[in-house]
Amino acid sequence: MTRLIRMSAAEPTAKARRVRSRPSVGRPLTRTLLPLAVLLTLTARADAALAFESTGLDFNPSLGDETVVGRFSFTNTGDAPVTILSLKASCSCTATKLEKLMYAPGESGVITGVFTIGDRVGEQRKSITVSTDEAGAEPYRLLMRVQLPPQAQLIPRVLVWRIGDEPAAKIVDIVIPDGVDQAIDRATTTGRQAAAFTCSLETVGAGRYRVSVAPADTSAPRNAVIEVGAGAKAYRVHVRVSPPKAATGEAAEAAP
Amino acid sequence: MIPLAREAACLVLLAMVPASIAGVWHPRRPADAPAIVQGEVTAATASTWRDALWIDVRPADRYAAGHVPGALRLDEDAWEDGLAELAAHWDGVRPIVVYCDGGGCEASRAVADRLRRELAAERVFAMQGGWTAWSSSPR
Amino acid sequence: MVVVPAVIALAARLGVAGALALAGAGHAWDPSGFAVAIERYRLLPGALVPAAALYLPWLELIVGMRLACTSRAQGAMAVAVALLGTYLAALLSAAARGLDIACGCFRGGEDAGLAWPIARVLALLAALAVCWFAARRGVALGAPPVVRQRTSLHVPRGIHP
Repeated sequence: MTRLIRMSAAEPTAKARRVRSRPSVGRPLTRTLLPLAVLLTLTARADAALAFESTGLDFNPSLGDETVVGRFSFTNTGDAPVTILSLKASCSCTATKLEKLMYAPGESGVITGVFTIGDRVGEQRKSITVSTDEAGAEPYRLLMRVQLPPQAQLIPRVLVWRIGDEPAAKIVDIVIPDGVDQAIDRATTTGRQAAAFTCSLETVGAGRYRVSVAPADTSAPRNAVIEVGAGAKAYRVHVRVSPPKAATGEAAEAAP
Repeated sequence: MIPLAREAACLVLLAMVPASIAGVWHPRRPADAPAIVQGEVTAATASTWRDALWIDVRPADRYAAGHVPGALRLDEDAWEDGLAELAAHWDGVRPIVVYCDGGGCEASRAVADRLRRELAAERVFAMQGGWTAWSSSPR
Repeated sequence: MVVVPAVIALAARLGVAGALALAGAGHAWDPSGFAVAIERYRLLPGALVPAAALYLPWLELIVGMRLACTSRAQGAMAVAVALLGTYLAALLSAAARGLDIACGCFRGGEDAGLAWPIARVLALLAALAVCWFAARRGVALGAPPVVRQRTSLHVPRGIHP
C-alpha cells in the first residue's frame, strides 16, 4: 500500500518532466527507451516463493554416457502453498520429473531433468520452464549446461558431385581436438557401389588428417559411404553422384 | 558542391549516433535475436523456394501426424541415420530449411547450425515459427 | 530553364520528407523486424544485416527531418537519392530473382508483391528531382529569376540565406 501511494505521487512529476523535455528530434528515442524501462520493471521477479539451490547446473559427461540427470532442489520460502502447474523442457530430448505438485510453506522438493545425449556433440543448453500458481509471477527457468566430450571433427560429412561434373577429388578435413586420444588409421569405401569411388588418407600434422575422395566417373547416380576409422571408433562420410536436377520433394503427402 | 558534400556527410555521421545507442539499448535490437538474421528464414519466404530440402526435427509422432511435403526427419537423437537419409536426397546446392514445432523451439536452430558446419554449406536455414507458422501461412 | 512552381516544390519536398521520416520511424521502432525484412532480400551478408537494420532507419528519419526543415538541403537530397536508389536496386533485383517477398518499406506493410513499392520509390525519386531543381533555382514564392541568377554568380551556393 505504501509503495502504491509513493508511486502514484511520483508519477505525475515524472510524466510532466518527460513531456517538457521531449524535443522533436529525440521523440523516437524516448519512445524507444520507455518500453525498455517497462520491460525491465515487468521482468523483475520481486516475490518469488520458490527458492532454488541453483537454477543452473553444469555437467561434463564422459564418452559413452547416455543420459545426464540434473536435480534442482527448491524450498517454498513464501507463506502460502505453491502448486507447480507445468514443467516444460526446451527439447523433447529432456524429460522432467516431479514427486508432487503442491508444496506447503517451508516444504522442499526436487525437479529432475533427464537429458538424453543421443548423437549430440559440443555444448548443450537445455532449459526447463516451471510455471506455478503464484499470482503475477513469471515462470522459473532452470538450465542444464552440458559440455559433451570432444570428438573428431570431419568436415564436410557429405560430398556431392553432380552428373556431368569433372570427377575431381574432393577433400574431407579431419581434426582431432586436443585432449582426445585418437589417431585416424584408415579410410575405406563401403556400400553396394563402393567401387564407384576411391579414397586415400593422408596425415597433415598433429591430430590433422585429410581424406581425398574421387568418383570413378560422374555419368550416372552413385552413392557410397567412406568409413574413417580411429581404432574401434568409425566415422562415416557420405559420398554421392547426384542427378543434375534433384527431385524437389517427394509425393505431396500430408499437406495441410 | 562542397557544402552539399559536407551536409551529406554530417547527416550520414549524425545517424550513427542514435543507431549506436539503439544497438545497445533498443529492446528490439537485432542483436537480441542474431539467429533471426543469420541463418533463419520466414515461413513465407521458405515456401517460395521451390527447390528447398525440408528437414523436420520434431518427434516422430508429430512428424507422422503431418509435415511439409517431402520433408525428411532428422534429429540429434539419431543424427547418423538422419544424415545418411539427407545425403541420399541433397544435391549439394539446394537450400536446406529446418523446422520444429514453433517459435520457442531451439532444436531447429541447433540442427541448422550443425548441418551448416558438417555439410560446410551456407544455405541452411532455421524456419521462424516452425510448423505452426508454415501450416497456418497461405499458399 | 526549368521553372518549378513553388507549391509543387513544397508538396514534393514534404512528400519525400514525410515518406522517409515515416519509414524511418517505423523501422527505428522495430529494428529486429526490419532486419528480417532486409534478410529476405538475400543481398547482404548475414553479419551486416543487423548493422544495416540499426543504421538505415535513423538515416531515413534524419534525412526526412532535414528535408522537412529546409528547401535548400541538397546534401539531404543527395543522401535521399542514394537511399532510394539503393532500395530501388534491391527491389528490382528481388523482382528479377522472382522472390515473393514483402518489400518491408514501411512497418506493418506486409503485402506481398513488388510492383507497387517499385512505383512508389520511382515516384519519390521523381519528387526528389523536383526538389533538386527547385533548390538549385532558389525557387521561393515571388522570387524573380534575375535575383536567382545573380545569387549563383556572386555567392557560393549553400551559404546564401
